[in-house]
Amino acid sequence: MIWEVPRIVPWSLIIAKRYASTSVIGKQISTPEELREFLSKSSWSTQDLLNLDRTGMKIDKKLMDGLLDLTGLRKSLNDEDQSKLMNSLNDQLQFLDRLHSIDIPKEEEKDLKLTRLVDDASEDGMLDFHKLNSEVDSTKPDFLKGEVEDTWNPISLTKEHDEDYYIVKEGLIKKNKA
Amino acid sequence: MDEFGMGNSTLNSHFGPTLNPLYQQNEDIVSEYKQETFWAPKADSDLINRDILHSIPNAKEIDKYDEIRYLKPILKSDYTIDSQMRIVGGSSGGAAASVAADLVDFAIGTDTGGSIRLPACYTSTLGFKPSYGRISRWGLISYAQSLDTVGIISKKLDIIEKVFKMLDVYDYGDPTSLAENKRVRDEDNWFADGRKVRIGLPIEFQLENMGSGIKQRWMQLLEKLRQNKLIELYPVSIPSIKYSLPVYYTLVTSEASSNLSRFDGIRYGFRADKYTDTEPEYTVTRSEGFGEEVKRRITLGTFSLSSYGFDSHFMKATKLRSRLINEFNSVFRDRHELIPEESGNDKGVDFIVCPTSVDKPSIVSEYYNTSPVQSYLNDVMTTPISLAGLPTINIPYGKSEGFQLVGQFGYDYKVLKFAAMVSES
Amino acid sequence: MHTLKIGLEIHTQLKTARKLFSLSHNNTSNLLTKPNSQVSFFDVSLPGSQPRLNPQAIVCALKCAIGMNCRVNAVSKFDRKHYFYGDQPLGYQITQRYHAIANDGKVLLTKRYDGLAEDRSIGIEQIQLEQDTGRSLYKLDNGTTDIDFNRSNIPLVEMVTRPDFNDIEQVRAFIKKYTKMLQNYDICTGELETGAIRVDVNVNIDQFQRIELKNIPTTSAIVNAIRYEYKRQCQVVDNGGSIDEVETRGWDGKKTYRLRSKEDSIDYRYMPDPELPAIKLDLEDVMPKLKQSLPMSVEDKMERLIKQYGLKLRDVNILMNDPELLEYYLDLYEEVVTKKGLSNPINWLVHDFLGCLTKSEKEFSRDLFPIREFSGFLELIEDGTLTKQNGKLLMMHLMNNKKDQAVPIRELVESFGMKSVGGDGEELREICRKVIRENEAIVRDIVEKKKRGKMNYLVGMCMRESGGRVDAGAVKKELASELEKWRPLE
Repeated sequence: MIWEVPRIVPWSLIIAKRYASTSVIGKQISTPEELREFLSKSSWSTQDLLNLDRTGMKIDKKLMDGLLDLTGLRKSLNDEDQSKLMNSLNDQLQFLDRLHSIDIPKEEEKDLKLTRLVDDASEDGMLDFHKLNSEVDSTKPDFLKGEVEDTWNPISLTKEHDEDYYIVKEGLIKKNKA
Repeated sequence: MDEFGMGNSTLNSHFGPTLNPLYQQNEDIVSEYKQETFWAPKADSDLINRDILHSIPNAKEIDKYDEIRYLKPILKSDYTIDSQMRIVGGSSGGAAASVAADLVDFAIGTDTGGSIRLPACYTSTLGFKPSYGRISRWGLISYAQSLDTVGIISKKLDIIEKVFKMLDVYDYGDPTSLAENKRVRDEDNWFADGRKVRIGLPIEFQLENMGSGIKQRWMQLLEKLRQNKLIELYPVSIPSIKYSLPVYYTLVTSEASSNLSRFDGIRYGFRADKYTDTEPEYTVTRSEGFGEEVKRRITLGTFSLSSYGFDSHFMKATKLRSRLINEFNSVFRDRHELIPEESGNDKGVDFIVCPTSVDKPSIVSEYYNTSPVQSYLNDVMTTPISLAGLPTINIPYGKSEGFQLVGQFGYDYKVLKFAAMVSES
Repeated sequence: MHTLKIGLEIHTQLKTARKLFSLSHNNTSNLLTKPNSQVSFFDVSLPGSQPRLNPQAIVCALKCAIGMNCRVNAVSKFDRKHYFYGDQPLGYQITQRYHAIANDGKVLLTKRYDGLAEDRSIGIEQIQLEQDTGRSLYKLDNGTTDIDFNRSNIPLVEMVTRPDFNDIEQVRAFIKKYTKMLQNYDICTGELETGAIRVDVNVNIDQFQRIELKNIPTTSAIVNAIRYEYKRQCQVVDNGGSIDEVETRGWDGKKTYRLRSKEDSIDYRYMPDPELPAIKLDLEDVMPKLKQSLPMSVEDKMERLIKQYGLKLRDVNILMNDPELLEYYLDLYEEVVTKKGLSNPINWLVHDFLGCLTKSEKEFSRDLFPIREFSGFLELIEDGTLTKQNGKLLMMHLMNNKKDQAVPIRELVESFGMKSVGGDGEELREICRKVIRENEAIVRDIVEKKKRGKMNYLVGMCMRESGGRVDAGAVKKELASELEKWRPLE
């Protein structure tokens, strides 16, 4: 219900796309009455995002332990902290589960060109042979990024080290290396 | 810029809570300020093996160092925050508070989902978030790299403009830095030839649960705009705004979980110095070093990236973000510099305007009782714009209230110019 | 008999001047470098540092794709592979999981170039760019681990084959072929032994799951490990068991052992890197021009040697392993065959010359036996002045006594008394007769008791008598003819 475009606002000018999710520009709001009408309609409430039908996946202790492992955190929490965390995670997951219900039709997928604000879609920055070679020739190490040899001492940033080496105190288990 | 505090209240930072200067606080919560000093190697070429020193260098070496002093607040062990105190917002709460308290002329912060605009709103200051990628992030601790945007807070618009002009430069070191040829710069007449300025009002920002005070102010503002001869108001619909909160929180927790993986204490920073057979040191370091909110978020992020959540949450959120970007793009009149073939809607609007917050900032004591999810809801007005990376400025309009002026991606100077016009009237 | 299937995953360090996502120095195999001295802010993941792709790595990866006949993708992207380990400074590795730089290649292993019994086509699944990790050194005495990040962020190409190998010899041939290609295109610094190339192997039998073998340091160890693992898997199945889960195993020199199984396996949570832009290539422009800029492929070089120079595969391989030696041979051939019309000097080079080098414990260099001297030497062999046997001795001498190379070679031969027995064969006849006279018992054995085997003894005696100045073949002939005429003395 709350995902539909409401029918209450009069449209005389519609810029439409082919999909269910359509952004539109409506008729100009020129009179005080039109403004009042606009302001009186509210399309939804954020509390709607919190409705409590727990349909999605639930995190149990085993899964939570697995997640804590993957996140590099301790698993040895006392019972209170454990249930606090688990409840909090489940609440938040519930909140994110909203996304399941939303469908993206196949025809729309190819129009989803930009998933982030980085220039992936245009032909700018496309490398041809000449550009590739000139970029290779022009890359120089930058002193301000610590790229020039013998200009800074990485070990100075840590209190614990074994001469010129960093240390991991409990040793490393080879099987965990990817 | 409290990447390790996280959250939109700035109540759980390392040195203690940041309070909102607009509200009464009778008792000082700080018992004293301790002066700390350190000596950093001077910026010359002979920098090999020179450490930062915490005690005064010997007479021979002292010329090679700069002495740097700072004040560290020591909180009272039992301080009380006044019952009327409200949160300052976050996560750049400190930046906003220092501007609001006139300690500085301007401050720099980061805005990932509203973390400059919301505290600016709550402290009634101007908070500008440029288009994503215009100000370099080199040197910034990454929270969510596809969303982090450096922004500026000040009481004066011309200061913001000045500072922005200086920082608006391509940086090769930042892979997301916007290419020079995509930066729309200052044009002489944005609003020439009596062409009306079209302002879009997204109906999806008309929230049922908008605070009544805000609603009133909002109405007043819109009526003023409607009356202005240069401006035309249009309702617009951007349906994806409705689920931008779950999209945002999926993406931001996933990226944070990834970006904070590097903090293990081995190469820099806090190190726990404890470990057991079953718990390697890095897990203890991270569990002790990160605050509760951070730990919650990165664990949630892990879920979204894991095999359980990757397709259903993370990839879905990515696609929905793309859809949102397209939807915003289609209502603007100006061309989107990163989607050139697709844009420039000649029936489109020049700006979008909406309130910055849903309600007044929470009372501090109430905020402590809010669940994380409840607090996320405060970001509903700012997150959609963050996801689309659009240039926005919070313009104060009343105490702890403000509205956002949003322009098309890349049109930062247009936003600033129009903000000046609006502020005057 | 169980069917064997093998797949390979090969990680190769690229020979770029600087690292992959930052421009600190790429000093791959040199283990003498001071630890943590070739690291930039990004290599130790200082907060606030950001990655920036080094374009030279793209060029190397493209060359590798060409060498493996892959389809290069116009757009490729980077992903993060998350796991915690002391040598992984970011807590994730930047790699290319979903949109790699090249896919769908093919390598043909053949009788002709790779010495296999039968030709075999190996599919290449993917070629991707990724970061190398730091190095960890476990210290036994106090149970800690030292970490050196010099290697962190060095560019790697990971190449994954399809499981198209069904024989160990194919694997050996492929690794050799791949290494030669990398060296030919100057993409990689070294070999398996230095760690510049690391090979992981997937082995499975019949329809069962694959077992991954990791961290095997040399080609011969790989061969042994596969053999062992095949036997082990067959035993499991023959005893009624089955192999249903992917497992990772290591090799200790004698047997494979479990490193981790499915339960221990890590969820890497691959995530598209939010910061790094995609690589966008104008393939129509880049690929033909890059191909043109490359040297002749290894196989083309080999074909030239086989066809034009009439060489056998074994000799081709020896030359291909040593570019300087190859140059030397080509120059020698030019001098000896093209100019002087003598026969192909390949055997003298590959057997005798190299043999002398080994015996003298010397490294190859052109100055040891300059082309001019070598060719003069070969003339004497060709015209019979020097027997093969004496030639070998002389070559050894000349290589270790450089000043004698200045002496005109015919003189030298004379002065050593090495000049072959020749002319009307009178001297040879005399030698044979003498030997026959002095070895009557043996002769009787041969002629009366038909013990032909003892012929060799007589041949040897003649050679000795002649001071090596006759060819064994000629001796045999003459001896045979003399023995025909022999009658026992009363």
